[in-house]
Amino acid sequence: MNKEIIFLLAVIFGTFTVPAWAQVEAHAPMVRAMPPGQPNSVAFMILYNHAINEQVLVGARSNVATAVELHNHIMAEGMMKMRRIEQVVVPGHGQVELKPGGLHLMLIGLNHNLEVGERVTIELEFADGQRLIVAAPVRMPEGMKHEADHGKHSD
Amino acid sequence: MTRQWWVLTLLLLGAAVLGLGGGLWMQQRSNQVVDPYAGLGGDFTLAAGTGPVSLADYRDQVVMLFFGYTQCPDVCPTDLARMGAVLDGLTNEESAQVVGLFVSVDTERDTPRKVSDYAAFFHQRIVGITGSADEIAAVAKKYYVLYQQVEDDNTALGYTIDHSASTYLIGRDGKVKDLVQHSISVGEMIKAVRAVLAS
Repeated sequence: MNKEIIFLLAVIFGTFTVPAWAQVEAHAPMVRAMPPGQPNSVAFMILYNHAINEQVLVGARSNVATAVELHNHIMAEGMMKMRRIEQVVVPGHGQVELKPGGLHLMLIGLNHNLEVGERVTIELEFADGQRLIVAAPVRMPEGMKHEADHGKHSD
Repeated sequence: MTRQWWVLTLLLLGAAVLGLGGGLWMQQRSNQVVDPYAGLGGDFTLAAGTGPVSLADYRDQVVMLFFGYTQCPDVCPTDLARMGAVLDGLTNEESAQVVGLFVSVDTERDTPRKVSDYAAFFHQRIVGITGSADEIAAVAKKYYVLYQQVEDDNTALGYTIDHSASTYLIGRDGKVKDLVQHSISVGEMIKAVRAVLAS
């Protein structure tokens, strides 16, 4: 075989291996514990994009909720407004933070009361078809003590 | 330098000192008279799960007042958790004189019972209350609270409520003493509450 064909084969095989790499990682994921009976909760995390091209988060699913939506907060006209958004763009070699008061994932229609320490599975869907499975622990809202301890201690 | 020069200089300096002193004294007087929250706030009565609750019930205590709704997924839990952290961060003696009041503006979905249970999750010293749409509107008007229901077919939530997210710190005399922003830290808020306790 001549060099051109070998090179072409290498490129073709190389392209097939790229999707197998985890291009986006979710760091420090967490889901908030809410008062019992509350139908919704919220998930936060930091998305790191290791690829050079931007990754676009377009949806998500979870085993604990009927629907998972992307939402953002804007402060306008003296009010905090929360709105559903269709996508979150993670820039190439960049990161996006989903955190309180800003971007977040809404878990709507919980099928049970979330326990502190429970691991919630959230599957993120990206525009290019990539999927990322995130295991997010349930935590009490920041600054709060956990009174109802079932023998376990949260950090 | 001649003696005349000295006399003149001393006179001028004397006048300057008198002027400064007088100006400061007048400013002190005017500071005590001007209250930035003069037209804001006032007593009100709404309902908790256990019965009616009035702001006047907490005379001689400091009240942290916040407006929101129970299905608020992020802003309200953040603010109530912070209120709870502030209560835990104060000394026992101090926290015995401080309470949190959470008013739900979601009169369609939130009953007094629901709001009370919700607030108690964050701290036992936070009381959750609500009322009819008219009652809530009247209280919101007194406190210049902005809120609006936003129907949205695009989300499984049905509707969300936009609302101002400041916390009012009310002194022992029932008057608004301070307003803290949504972005405040627990440490800063403890300081602000202590200042109201001392005033």
